[in-house]
Amino acid sequence: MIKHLIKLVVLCSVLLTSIASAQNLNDAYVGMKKKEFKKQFTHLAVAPLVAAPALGLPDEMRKMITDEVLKKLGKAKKKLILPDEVWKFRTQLVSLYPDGVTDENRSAIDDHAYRELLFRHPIDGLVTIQVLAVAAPFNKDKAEWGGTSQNIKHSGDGFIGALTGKGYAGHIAATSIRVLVSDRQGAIVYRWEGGIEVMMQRKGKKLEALPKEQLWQNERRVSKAIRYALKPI
Amino acid sequence: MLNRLIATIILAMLLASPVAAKKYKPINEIPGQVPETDEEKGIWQVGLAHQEKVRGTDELVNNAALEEYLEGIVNRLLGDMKEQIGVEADVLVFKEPTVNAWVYPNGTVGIQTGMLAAMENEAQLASILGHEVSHFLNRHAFIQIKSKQKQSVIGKGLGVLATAAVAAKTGTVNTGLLNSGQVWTELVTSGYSRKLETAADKQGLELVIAAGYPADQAIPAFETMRMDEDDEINVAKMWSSHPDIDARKKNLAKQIKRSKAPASDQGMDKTSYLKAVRLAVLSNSQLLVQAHQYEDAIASLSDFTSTLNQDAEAEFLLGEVYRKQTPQGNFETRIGAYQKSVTIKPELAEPYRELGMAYRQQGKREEAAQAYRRYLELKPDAPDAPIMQWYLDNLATAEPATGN
Repeated sequence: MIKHLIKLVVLCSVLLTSIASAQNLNDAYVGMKKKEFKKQFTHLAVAPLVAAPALGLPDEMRKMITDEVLKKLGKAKKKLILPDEVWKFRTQLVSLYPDGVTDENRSAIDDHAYRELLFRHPIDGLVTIQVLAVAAPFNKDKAEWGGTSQNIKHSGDGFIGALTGKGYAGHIAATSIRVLVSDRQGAIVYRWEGGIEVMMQRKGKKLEALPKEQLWQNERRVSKAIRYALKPI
Repeated sequence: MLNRLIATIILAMLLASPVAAKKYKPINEIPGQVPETDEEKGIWQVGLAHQEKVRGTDELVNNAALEEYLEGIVNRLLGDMKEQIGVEADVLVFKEPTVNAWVYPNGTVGIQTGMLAAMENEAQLASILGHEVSHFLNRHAFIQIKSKQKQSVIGKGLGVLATAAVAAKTGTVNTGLLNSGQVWTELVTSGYSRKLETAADKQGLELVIAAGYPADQAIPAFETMRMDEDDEINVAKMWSSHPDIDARKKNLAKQIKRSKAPASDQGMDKTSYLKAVRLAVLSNSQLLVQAHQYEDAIASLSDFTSTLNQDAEAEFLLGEVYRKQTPQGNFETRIGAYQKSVTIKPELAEPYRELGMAYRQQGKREEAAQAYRRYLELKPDAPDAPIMQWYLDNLATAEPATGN
């Protein structure tokens, strides 16, 4: 009898967990349901990956992220216009200006590049991949964000502190991959983020940036972030 | 025994009411003495700090002629009371497509472009402003916050009081607490009790009648707001706490009948109203486009252009809404709007650019070339001039859009 009860409780919690996570994934769709998205967005253009230079994203990692996103979208049976093609016309427009892109002409270049993309290809939407820094919440030296978690490197707690463990909580800088899909009018219809890795360590009560050479070393974490960012699709 | 108890309670209530009324006299009965206490002064300061924060920023339409027009209506509604109170009418126009208006404790009116666009004439707008002026005259913001403090109902009201208390003591306001234009709708106006709202409706209508506006325009004004009730985006929180529209209309109709107000056609001319609030309506249409509410933008602009038949910028904007709604379609409607725009104002460059783009999409090279040339003649230094020149140079090889 007790065994049955335990089984029932376990089954219920599994069901509840899966319902909860399914609800969360549905939040990726903005103003529409997954079914509608699947039906309406079959032909997508993928813009080149955007990452702030300060993040120091290595070229090979940039290529790996782009390739994996394209692969996963392909598996989801999306017809794709590749980033090179998306960027081609913009590059052509930039070449019309002797000073290149300036604050004055940037919006004209971007606007016409997008209009030309729509002019040349019957796409349903544009995919944007962003690698960005986010504030990840942490508790007891463990950060959790974007479908992942990571223990924070720490030192400087002293002997007793190391023995008893410190209960620090707060927010810490971390990297994430964000995938956005916007419709032909530019309205965002899909937005989801996968967490990559924390960018800081704790020294006593202070948070310090990790040395750059320690970042972007773990391909598995990056792959996991991509999978999570595209999981709702 | 029971009867005596009931009689005592009724007597106590009757006696208590004038005391309560006396406690918070209308502003026009205590000129120069408001705010009466440090606490009320603090609440005024919170409101003033928010006004200070937004004034001159991009959150507002910032057009002197528009503000002057609206302040003229407020002054007209205040009538002789304006001198008694010694307050200058002040109106801030917020760029927000929701249908909303409110009044700060010091009498400055905040009104959103969505509200100005929703009204059909000045008389309707006067009904809304009359309602807000009435909230101000009767110090409803202060009364409501005090009442919330007493009831300890919501933290939001207490938050304002805490800020106000600090403001009254230190003379400075933590503007960090006032981080959005919704502050007063969230903290004050959305919280007015139905009793206060009904009182504001009643006195608002009296002000409208006294100012010579037709009283019956209050009904379509409030009816316009009902149209938004089903639309989640357009429902301003303020109105959700108002008495329901049907009850309100019924009360107003009764009051109009009782008032025996003479018939009036003042403020009924739609054309002059739209001319006066033109910038707000156009700005509101752009906000609707940004929010991807194309149908609403088209409805608003179509109404505007059919009333003011000769507005080139509005016609161009209408064409742009059609284009943004369907980037690879809507050719006839958008080309029609652009053409009308340049017929009205041939020196306006932007419609020529868009005509060029639309003809190019359709594969009409001759027409596209003509339009691009005209654009470049009118605006040779435009940031996108090199792009237009490239389109012009490469028209020979351009095929009709495949992305249509």
